[in-house]
Amino acid sequence: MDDLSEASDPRLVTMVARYSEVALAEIYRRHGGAVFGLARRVLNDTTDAEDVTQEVFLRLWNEPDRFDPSRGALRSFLLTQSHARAVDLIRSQGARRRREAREAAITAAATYDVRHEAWDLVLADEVVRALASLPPEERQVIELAYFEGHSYVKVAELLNQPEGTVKTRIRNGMRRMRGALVDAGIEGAT
Amino acid sequence: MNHDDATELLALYALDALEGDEAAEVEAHLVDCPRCASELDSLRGVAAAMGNATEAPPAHLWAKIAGHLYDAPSEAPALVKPASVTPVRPRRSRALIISWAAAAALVAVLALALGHANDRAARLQGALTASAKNEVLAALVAPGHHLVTLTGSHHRELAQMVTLPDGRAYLVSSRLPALAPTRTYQLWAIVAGRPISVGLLGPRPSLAAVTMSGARASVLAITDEPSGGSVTPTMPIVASTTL
Repeated sequence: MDDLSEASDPRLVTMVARYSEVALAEIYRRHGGAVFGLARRVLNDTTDAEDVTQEVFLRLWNEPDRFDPSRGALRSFLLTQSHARAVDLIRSQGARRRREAREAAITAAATYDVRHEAWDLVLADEVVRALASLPPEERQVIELAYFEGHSYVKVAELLNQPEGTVKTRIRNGMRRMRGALVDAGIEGAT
Repeated sequence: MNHDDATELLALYALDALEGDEAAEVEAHLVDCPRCASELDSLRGVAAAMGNATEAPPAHLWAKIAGHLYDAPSEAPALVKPASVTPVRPRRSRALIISWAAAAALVAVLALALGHANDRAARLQGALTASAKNEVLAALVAPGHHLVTLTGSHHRELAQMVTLPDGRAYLVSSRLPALAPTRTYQLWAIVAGRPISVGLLGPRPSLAAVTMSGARASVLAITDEPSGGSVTPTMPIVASTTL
């Protein structure tokens, strides 16, 4: 009856709204690794990723009503927050040097490929397959924007492509991604 | 920004790839366009699926987060502006929170081992606040932990404990009424039908660490005893739970 490991995510968030620390701890146990993993991936820095993770969970603690279960899974919600904060940070002055070091690496590494990352969730296979099924020019712009935290304007500059082309490729690629995920039975992260 | 322009930019917005005016214009459009808001939710789900790669966070991170739960909320800007905000919760009054986390700093902690209760109480009382708090926080995310609620008469929830497979157990929250200074709450494990003293919790328990080494307890019970503790529990039991 008190075994929170059986409680649904929305139920846990309701408990967080009543200041249940154990409910927050259970949410962290379930999703902390994903929140941290995405932030670390974008920032390429463990300390910054810890700060982002802390902000995301403290925000859930202080404003749990921002999560609306009718709009998607809790993990999607937390990952959206983690990504937005990580991108803010990577684009900020403080992180500029690290970012530029990575940009040099990206430009140099023609074989940059998300598929070689170790993902430990079952659905990662399907996501990797969906990404791999995209035309390479669409996959590349999505990866640069999402995993490297670049704006589409910056992606256009890095690839020396017109901004309109990058926009269209991201849009088409994301729609294609969604189609592939829906075909695979995945609708967003769970 | 008209609807068609916004629709074109939603995928970029979902990837946080828009900046400045363009991002602001999309946000403005989202406020009164449920269709775009719903499309954005869907695209964010796609983005989250791509970013869904679990990586073990550093072990100390949870304790760090938990240590800031009762800080004043920061003035940091919203991480992500929601397409629409529906407040479902009244503002909470912080004065009313019953929380071990807040109380832990104020109340001395008892850490008692089975069999050496009074000895160790004297040595450890008041000395463990910070480290015990971190230990409790770690227990809340440890594998195999169980959260149990001890209830009193009329099923009132009076205390919560976390038990770990290795026999350690932590009192993590308490609504037990304060006792006179000459009294103490005492925690008992019922093993094979016999009560064994696990430790003294003091007259105003908040946070405590205990060890139930080796024994398979079927029931945990709390009684009201004279301040030195008792050899056998004084009835009635104030709060208990079946394990």
